Amino acid sequence: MYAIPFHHLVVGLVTGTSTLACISSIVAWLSTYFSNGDRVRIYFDNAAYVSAIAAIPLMPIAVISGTLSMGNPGGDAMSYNKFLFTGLTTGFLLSLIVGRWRFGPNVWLDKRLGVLQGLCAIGALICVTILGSIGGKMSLGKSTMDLIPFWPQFNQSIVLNQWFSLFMFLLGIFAITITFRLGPEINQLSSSDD
Amino acid sequence: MRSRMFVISIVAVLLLAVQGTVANPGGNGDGDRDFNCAGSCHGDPSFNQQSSAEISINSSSESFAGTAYQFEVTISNSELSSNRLLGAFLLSSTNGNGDHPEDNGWNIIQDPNGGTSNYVESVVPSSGSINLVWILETPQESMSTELFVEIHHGASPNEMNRAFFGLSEPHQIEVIPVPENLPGFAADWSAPSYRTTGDTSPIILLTQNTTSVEVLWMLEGESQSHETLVELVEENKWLAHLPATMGDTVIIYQVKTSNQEFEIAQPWLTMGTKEPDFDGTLWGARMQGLASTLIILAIIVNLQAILQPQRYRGKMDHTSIVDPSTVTSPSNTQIHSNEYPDRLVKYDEYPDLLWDPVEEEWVKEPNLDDD
Repeated sequence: MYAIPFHHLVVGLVTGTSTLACISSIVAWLSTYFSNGDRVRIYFDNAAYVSAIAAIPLMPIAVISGTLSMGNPGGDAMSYNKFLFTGLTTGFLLSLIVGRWRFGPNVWLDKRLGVLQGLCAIGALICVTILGSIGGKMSLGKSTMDLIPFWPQFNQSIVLNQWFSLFMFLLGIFAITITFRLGPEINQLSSSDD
Repeated sequence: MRSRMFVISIVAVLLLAVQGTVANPGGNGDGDRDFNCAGSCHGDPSFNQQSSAEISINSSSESFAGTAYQFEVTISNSELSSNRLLGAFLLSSTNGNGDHPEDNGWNIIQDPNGGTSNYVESVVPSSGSINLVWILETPQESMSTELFVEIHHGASPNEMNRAFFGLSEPHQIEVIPVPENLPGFAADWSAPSYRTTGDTSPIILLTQNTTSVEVLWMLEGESQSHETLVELVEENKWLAHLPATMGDTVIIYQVKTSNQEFEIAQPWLTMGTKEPDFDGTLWGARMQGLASTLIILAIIVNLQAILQPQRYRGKMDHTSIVDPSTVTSPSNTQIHSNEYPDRLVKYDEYPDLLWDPVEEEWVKEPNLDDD
């Protein structure tokens, strides 16, 4: 009974925090191209870091409340795509947080890492926009993407075999473990590392 | 004075509008109507004119009570309005009321436009000829009955603003009792409405009192029918191999059921095409979403490790392989210059050496020499 309003509430929070994280990250990255952008970079870096961390625990709550508020979750292409884009958004946001956590606030000052963080933010922003658009299309029949002259085919989806998805999931866990346990040592960047 | 002019203008506009809307040139839409639309312009002697169209009914004059009956009419007309619209009525009398076939025991299963009306509007192709088919259910009791077709249309040019009408000759139909061994569809069989796009599997036909089945098919809009392969699976169970359809194609097919005594051509049936059913599951979606999270994270964290600046510094720093005996002392001019000492870098690992990044060489710590 309360699943739908609760889902709307959580979706509002998760979309807001994710969008704030992405836009703040992009601004922090772009500020490095301006000679007097240090102060802006520090503000937006903090905003991005905090809002990205806030968005992560809200993601599974949004998925669970969405699953409870739908008749046949995952049973049609639109709701299936919601799961896929939630996964992609979470992946990009987690990458953003990990990068910021491991390299510190000066991650934006390094040319290569700054670009990588910026691309993660752009990827997450695109995925969040698509996610919100699919939700809007399902509940209201309208979406943000109606503004563009074509509607991407979200009523079709790439469905992998369930066992292949399980294999991919296990492969992902293995890859993450190898990366963190056996990967090179990471040190926080100082301002002279740029 | 001004208000009087306003009223006169309004009246003039209304009068002009009446002149411009003789009959209904854009049509009235499909519906259930009696002969001559109960006194429409097409039925009014002061407005109407006899149509020169030829109305030809090509249907059986005998049918079994309570069975499907195909009523087919061909209308050839070279005299049409610019939008080529033609209205056609299927009537069971021409009294002006109670003319609907249902008033005489008939039931309309499907009209030529896919609905269940006795009046339909169609656009006549440039050939000037149109074929209209109503699928009817005959009256439940045996009787002798008749059906008519009436048409309404305009003309271009139409200087006198005439509303044209035409009426066919009555088509006599003898409704006779159903014989016991009449071949037809089984009572529990229903025709499939849709088939999945690209599906080549045959459709199953269930019949009764049937020893032979023939199936004709054509795509919607085609006039030439094709015969398809029919297989007998078991008694009164048949497989008809209709070709696969794609997109929004509509296929229409007719089954002819026969035995030693009767050969019955069943009405044309329609089958649309739909997209395949979605085969995703909730757990599949969850697993695929989680997998994409982890894969994205693994790729980007690895990229971060590859692109980190320390990695490149490690490659460039060869301090550990330098032999201290090969290190040269800076020249006097270098030492006394202000620029030179500033550029030397001190490393804690080598307290008695300094790194000159310009010359890319190790030099002795000058202060140590002084001591």
